[in-house]
Amino acid sequence: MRIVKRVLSTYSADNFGVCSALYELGGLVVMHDASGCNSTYNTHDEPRWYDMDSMVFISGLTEKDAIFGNDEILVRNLCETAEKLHPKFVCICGGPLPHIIGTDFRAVAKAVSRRTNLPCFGIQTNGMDAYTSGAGEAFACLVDLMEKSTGCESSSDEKIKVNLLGATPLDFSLNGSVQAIQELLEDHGFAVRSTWAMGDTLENLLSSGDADVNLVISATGFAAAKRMRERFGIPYVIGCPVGRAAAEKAVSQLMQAAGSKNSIGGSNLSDDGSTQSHEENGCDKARILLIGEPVMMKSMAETLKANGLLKSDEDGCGKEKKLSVRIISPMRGLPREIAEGTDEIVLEDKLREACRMADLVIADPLYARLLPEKPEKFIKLPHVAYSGRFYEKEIPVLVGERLDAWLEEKLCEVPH
Amino acid sequence: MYDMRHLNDNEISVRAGDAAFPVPFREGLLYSSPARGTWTIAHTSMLIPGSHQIFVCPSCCLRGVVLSAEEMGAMDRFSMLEFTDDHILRGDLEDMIIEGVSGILNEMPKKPTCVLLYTSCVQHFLNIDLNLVYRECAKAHPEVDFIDCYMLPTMRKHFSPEKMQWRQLYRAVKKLPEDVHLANIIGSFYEIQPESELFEIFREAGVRVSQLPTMVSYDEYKHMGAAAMNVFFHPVVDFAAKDMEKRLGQKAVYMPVSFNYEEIRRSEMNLAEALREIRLPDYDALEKEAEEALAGALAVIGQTPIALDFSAVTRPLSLARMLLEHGFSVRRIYADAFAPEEKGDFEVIRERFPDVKIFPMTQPGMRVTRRNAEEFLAIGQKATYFTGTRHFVNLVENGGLYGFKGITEIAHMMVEAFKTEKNPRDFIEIKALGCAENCARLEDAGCGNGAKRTDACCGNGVILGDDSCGNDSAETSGGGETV
Repeated sequence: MRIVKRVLSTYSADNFGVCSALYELGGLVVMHDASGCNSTYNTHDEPRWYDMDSMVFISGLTEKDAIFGNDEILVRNLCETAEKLHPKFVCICGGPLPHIIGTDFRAVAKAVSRRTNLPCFGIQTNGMDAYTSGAGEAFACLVDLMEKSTGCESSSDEKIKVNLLGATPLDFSLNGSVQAIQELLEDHGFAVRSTWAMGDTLENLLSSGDADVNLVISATGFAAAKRMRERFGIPYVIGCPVGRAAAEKAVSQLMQAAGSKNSIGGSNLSDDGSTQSHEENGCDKARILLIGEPVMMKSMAETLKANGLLKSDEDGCGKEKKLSVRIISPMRGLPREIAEGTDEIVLEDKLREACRMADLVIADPLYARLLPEKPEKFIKLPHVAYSGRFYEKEIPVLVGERLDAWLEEKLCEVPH
Repeated sequence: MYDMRHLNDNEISVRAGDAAFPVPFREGLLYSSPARGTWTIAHTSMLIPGSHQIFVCPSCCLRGVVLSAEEMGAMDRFSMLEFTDDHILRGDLEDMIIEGVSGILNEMPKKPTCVLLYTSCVQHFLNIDLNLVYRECAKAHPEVDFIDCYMLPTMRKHFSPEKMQWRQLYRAVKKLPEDVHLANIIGSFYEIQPESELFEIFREAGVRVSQLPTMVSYDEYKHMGAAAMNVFFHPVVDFAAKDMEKRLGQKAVYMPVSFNYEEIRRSEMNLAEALREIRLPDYDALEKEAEEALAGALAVIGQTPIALDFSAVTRPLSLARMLLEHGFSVRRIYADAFAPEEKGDFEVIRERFPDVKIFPMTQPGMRVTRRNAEEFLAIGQKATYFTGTRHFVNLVENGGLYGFKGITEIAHMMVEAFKTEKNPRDFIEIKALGCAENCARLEDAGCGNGAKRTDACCGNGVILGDDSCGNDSAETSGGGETV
């Protein structure tokens, strides 16, 4: 139910999420739809498009082929292009029209695989869900391509090997945030085994089943983490080390998880319930409202609380102070473990109401359109998955203590 | 990161001497380069003063248009209805649109003059009752003109989205008492160069010219209904021109943006004839001026290799031929296909300049070509990107240039590009060259959202269901009749 959007934008779609996740890995990635999807993805959602070659294309679906269900053209074009460009794998996903006519991308992938002998997979995107599900499924499909790990255990003097799962420019831009996360972990004695999937190679990703623990830094990494736990017994921690408190917690949980490999499932930075869903609490009053990607927002909430930035909060409805931060993730179909502690609100009117009720909103700049008479209420934190390239140059690096400094600066600017 | 296998030029391009016409390359998967200066339907719709766009689509289709609106600073003229599987399964897309449109319009402080209501491929495949939708919307908001618009990139068997777009753009123009001293220029994103000899012809005939890129009020748009003729420059606009001829009795005059002197003279004579004005511009002087400009450009540019593309001008082969015949070293033409009217120019190039290379713009191979032909002078954004040059003419869809004066101007632009180094990324990544400036112009004139209008000229303008479109409703559904 997303119906009317008078002033707001939409989140990047699931098919774009697939492309973003696989962009750097040398695969032929094709969206099955008419050409418009392609230009939207590469103009607004893909900051690497100009400088970094890739093999993301569109099928150019026509009404005739849609009506007659002529998937052979798609299969043939995929095979011909694969023959010419030598990709390492082939991935096919699609937009709304193939979804309506029920195109079976997994079957298409099988047909292509038979003819090309390449690893191929199809992802049933629909162009209606959020990027989180598409990118998540793309990473999970890569896990299926992984070989079983050799099973050699780390010796006690070796560093803990961490896979970073869920790195795409849609959530982290190209501003150095991912590198900052890698550095932070290395500074704390970890070895970053792989980064899914920015600045890394397909070969390295596929051999990273020997990692000790996975860190899910955005919702897009969750499905792969679950699948790696199932296949390789690698535990995972959900959280993005933004802010000192969240970083410390992530480090601690990673060590704990790595130490109990094969016995621990997953843990969440906010699993103490401190970011309990607002709706669960039934209170309308929140001092600070965070809108955006849930893993990042929950980690940010950790830091907000830990820093005592909410001490002067006046509780307006007799509930505990944990209600002072509310998180809204307006993305449909997030996994329960990721959505926990957040509210899924997608209707513009309800989002406006939530902003009105909050004293302060940290969100993408486009959300400020909800209350044009109250621009001072909004702290702008651009998110590529929402406003695309428009505010890209204004996206700060918030990893580690940089978030604390940023928050302090921004909160000082807010009139009391 | 992956070390991409790069293709060499010979694997991607074809010699003009060996090329097929009008489609030199086989269709397959499509690539979209980051050269973004061409206009999309969301940009084109902004040309109507005071109009508001409402798109009814799934999120992946909406994302491109809403962010385009944001980039051109026109979000206050844009809204959307985003539907999901739930709506499709419930089968209530009609109600959803009717209620959604009312929700949007009723919340606006001032209703727009005109609403361009866009539906997408999914609704058409589901065959929802669009006639009902538009009728109900018009009934609920009689003071607003509704235009049925279509974002149907899948359904391009009969009409390209651009053809459909241009036709619908003028659908709220209604027949007014004819003013023989008024002519419309239709189908151009850009104001036609005021210095063009075209205006000399109009002036001689005592005819005023009306064109969307210079309008500042919705009244002006509606007043196009009084014009005696529509002049257009691009073949994709013929659908609109024929529609206006049929609906409004306005004569359609096609003037191809050719770079051939004879063809230009012929077109302008046709216009003069249509205007019943026999006094023509001084062509000898105009031709001399163009020749001098070209000779001057050649003296500066010399044998610098030149690449040009189909997004810069609608007749790239005509431009290439003209430059080649004047001694320039045109080496590359970027185009996926050519208009049939380019056949003559194609034959000349094939015969006399067979080594000119034709490159596609959207074939997958173009993604992995090396963009290191920095010695080139490029005309057009695609040619700029693919060659990697920093010397380029930033021109999109003729840029308002026409005729001898247009040739003169292009020669000057080439000299400027040759002398000036620019970072292409700062220019070609901007969507719809000139659109944001046009939106700002309208805003400054107080005719962004809710333009100046008189009540008499607005309202009851639902397009589907009136006499102008009753017979066309299947046609306006793009490939609807095919379905």
